[in-house]
Amino acid sequence: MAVLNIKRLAIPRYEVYGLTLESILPLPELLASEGKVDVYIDIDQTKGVASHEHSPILCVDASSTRAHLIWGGVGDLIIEDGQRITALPDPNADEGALRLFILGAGLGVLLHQRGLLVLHASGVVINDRVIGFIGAKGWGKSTTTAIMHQRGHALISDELLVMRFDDQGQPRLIPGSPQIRLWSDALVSTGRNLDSTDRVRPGIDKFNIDASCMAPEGLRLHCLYLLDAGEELSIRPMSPSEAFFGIVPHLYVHRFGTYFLKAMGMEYTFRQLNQLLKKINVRRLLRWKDLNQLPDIAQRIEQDIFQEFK
Amino acid sequence: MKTNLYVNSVLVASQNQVSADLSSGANGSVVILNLKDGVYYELKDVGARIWNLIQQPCSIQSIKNRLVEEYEVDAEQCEVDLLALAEHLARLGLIQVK
Repeated sequence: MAVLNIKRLAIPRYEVYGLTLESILPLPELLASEGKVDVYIDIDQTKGVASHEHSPILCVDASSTRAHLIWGGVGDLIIEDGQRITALPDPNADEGALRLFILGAGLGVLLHQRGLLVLHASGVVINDRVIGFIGAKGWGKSTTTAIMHQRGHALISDELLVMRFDDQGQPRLIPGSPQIRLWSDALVSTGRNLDSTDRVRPGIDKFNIDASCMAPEGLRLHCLYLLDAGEELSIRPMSPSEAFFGIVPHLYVHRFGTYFLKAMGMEYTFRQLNQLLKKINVRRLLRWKDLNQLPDIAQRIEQDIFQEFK
Repeated sequence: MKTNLYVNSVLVASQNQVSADLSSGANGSVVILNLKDGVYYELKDVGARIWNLIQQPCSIQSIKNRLVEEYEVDAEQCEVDLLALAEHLARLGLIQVK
């Protein structure tokens, strides 16, 4: 028993989304933790079912408590009971890609298993108000978050916006890891140097930047901005039903299709979304897809928050 | 498959869905999620009103009477539209017809 205890103590622990992870795979993206373990991340060298060729992430099996995801060229992930992620890596898998799989899709599913509402979104704190950005892939959630953070606003999270509901039904945010992922053009446009920044994984033009200021846990979400295309920069209110259908595609559980959603319990998420809409504003942020417009967009969002909540 | 619907048919929201009333001010809106196939629907204004009524079993006749009282609508036209909506909702599995 003593030997087992020593071995367990040697496995590093990290914190993210309010959880302490004990991971056999080093996760340098995360902050170290000495807390009581909530989630175990393990490696199983058994061969999984994922192909060796690169392919999108898919869910091949799911129930309310267990999900099996595959990513061609990277491996399999089994996520169970909101407590355990087991990775079955492809023999040639890049470790960065495996970490991305675990910390992205793996944690997204695990957090949902734990009853939290997970949006494919990012968030920052402006003047004590938490705002989130949702939008289609490539529409600048992370880029907008990065520019806001650069202007001194604390980061809640990039990629996954995770919340629980308190006794009054208010959505309370749980911060993620202190990093933002940017494509190279966005990285350069925010004044950073490509050579001194780490790639998310080899062969991809996306980089991790460190966030210097993280928000504390438990802040209330006030507003979601849906990033959209428009002829001129403007912020427009959305009716509750527009907001509903605007957010639905960005529910994390929608990522793997209806089969996965049914298995994971779509009624629960539906009720969470309905609850969320009673407590927050949702606005459409229209702008050109032009990185030169970033400072104007940031200023416009700040003005909107100052005016709305002064 | 055509559903047999008459003015004395009783409609009630099915167990295979979950819905939320997102009406704001004068704009009625109900969103419905079909739990069988994961498809979302929206009913607006009079449709939303009808949906709220059929959270309890209601005959088409009684729904029609309510709508004629509440809206400026011709009774005959109301019945035709109501039967068409009920048939559509039944076909989608969102209501039960008794």
